[in-house]
Amino acid sequence: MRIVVDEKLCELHGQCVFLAADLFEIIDDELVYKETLEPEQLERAQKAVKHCPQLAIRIVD
Amino acid sequence: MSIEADHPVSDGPGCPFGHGADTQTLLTEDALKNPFPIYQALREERPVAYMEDQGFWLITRYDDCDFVLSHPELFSSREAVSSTNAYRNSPEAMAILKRSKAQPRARTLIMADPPEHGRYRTVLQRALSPARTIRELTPRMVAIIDELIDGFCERGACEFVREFAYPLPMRVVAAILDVPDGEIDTLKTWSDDFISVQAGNIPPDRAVSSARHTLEFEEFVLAKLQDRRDHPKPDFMGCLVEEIPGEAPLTAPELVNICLQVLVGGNETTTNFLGSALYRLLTTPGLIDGLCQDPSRIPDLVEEILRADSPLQGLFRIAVEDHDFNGTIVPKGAKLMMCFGSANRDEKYYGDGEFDPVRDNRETMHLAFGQGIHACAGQGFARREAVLALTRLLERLPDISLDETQPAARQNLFGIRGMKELHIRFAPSPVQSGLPAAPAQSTAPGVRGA
Repeated sequence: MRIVVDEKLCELHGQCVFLAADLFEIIDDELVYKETLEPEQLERAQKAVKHCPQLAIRIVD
Repeated sequence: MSIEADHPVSDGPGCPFGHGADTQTLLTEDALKNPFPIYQALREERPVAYMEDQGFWLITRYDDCDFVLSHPELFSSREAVSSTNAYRNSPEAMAILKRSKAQPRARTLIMADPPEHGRYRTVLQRALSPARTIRELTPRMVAIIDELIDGFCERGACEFVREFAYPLPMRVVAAILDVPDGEIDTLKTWSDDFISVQAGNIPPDRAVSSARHTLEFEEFVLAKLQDRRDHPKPDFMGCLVEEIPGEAPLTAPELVNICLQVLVGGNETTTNFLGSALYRLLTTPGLIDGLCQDPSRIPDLVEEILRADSPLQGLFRIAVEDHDFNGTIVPKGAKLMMCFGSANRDEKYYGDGEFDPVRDNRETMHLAFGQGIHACAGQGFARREAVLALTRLLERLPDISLDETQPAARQNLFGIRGMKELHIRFAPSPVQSGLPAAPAQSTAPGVRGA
């Protein structure tokens, strides 16, 4: 499973960083994230997907 | 326990609502100040309760609120705020509004459904982009915060709501809408009127002046936008009129309505949040000392205050079709209020639901900003504003305390949580204006006495 972020939509609200700090990070006003998802990270990633105010995050197989 | 819609339950001992549930129970002075015991009883006994007097369904469980927010195709936002025409009883006010270039009012954003909603949201998100606007406005926010503290720091005491919680968001919104400093009082008048109009309860004697203010606001917004068309500038107002290839430009009523929602949405909610936040700080033993030692805890604490004291306790939707909530049928066309204030204290996710300064809100994200396509577009802004304000207050007034001689007063409006009056004391300290702006987010340990 992979995380996909639509960078055109992302506005750095930072909710994903709050909810899943092991997957997302904001460095110098840019969102950096782990693309490959370990099974134990899935739940946190799903929270980030759900609570992204821009609906910019997806999880794909 | 689930409740059948056509089999009203007998009055449980803990349930404040009998067969004829109505909002009166929620409107007593006690309930307005502390609605949480009633929410709790509703979650247990009647999680989807019909309020007969007001004709809407009150949704109190987290999962149900979450479901409604996540399904805009089943629950329309067309009447998310009041749908009543607040001017219906004043022909004179109606006549004034006829001269408007931006009436009839457009239903954008919070009042719009897909696909139209997406168009407004895209424009707003570009214009209110945290990535750009927040970054650019952060130094301005810090300067405003310091100026406000300068207004009372030498006195050793102040009324926090009037002198800080109210003017801060007003001035930040003024900066967003590019309202000059000298016009802040005008903006305040406009904002107060719009809140009354949205609530549908403008007093008759204020209807005419309020209609005039509506026109003034429209003229201000349209002139400002025309200026940006003539002299493009990459600020909020400039972004609203920037041409997007392949998209029709927004109309005057749409643009005015978007600006109005920014004005109303960014203002009172933040005022109420700041009042609740400071009250929590002042009434939780050891909390201020802890935050002064470690200001990096402030962002997490902001989330907990948003959860426990959600400034906006609920919003409305209209059921697009019959919907079955665990046996309770909410019929097509019915109005529902998602009670965020209750959802955010649901025992399924939050234990006893009480304020807990070290609670980790990553487990279940609160719904204070809503969720899904209508999630608050200004939430990045609001968080930044809250963290900056609390950080700076504690840096400059680390010995802040409640003024016990003047009792604090809660807001007593349904659907709103905040403070009406909050008197504080602290050791007098010198003004700081003219000094270089403080760093945006101090992470220096031991800010006490800084």
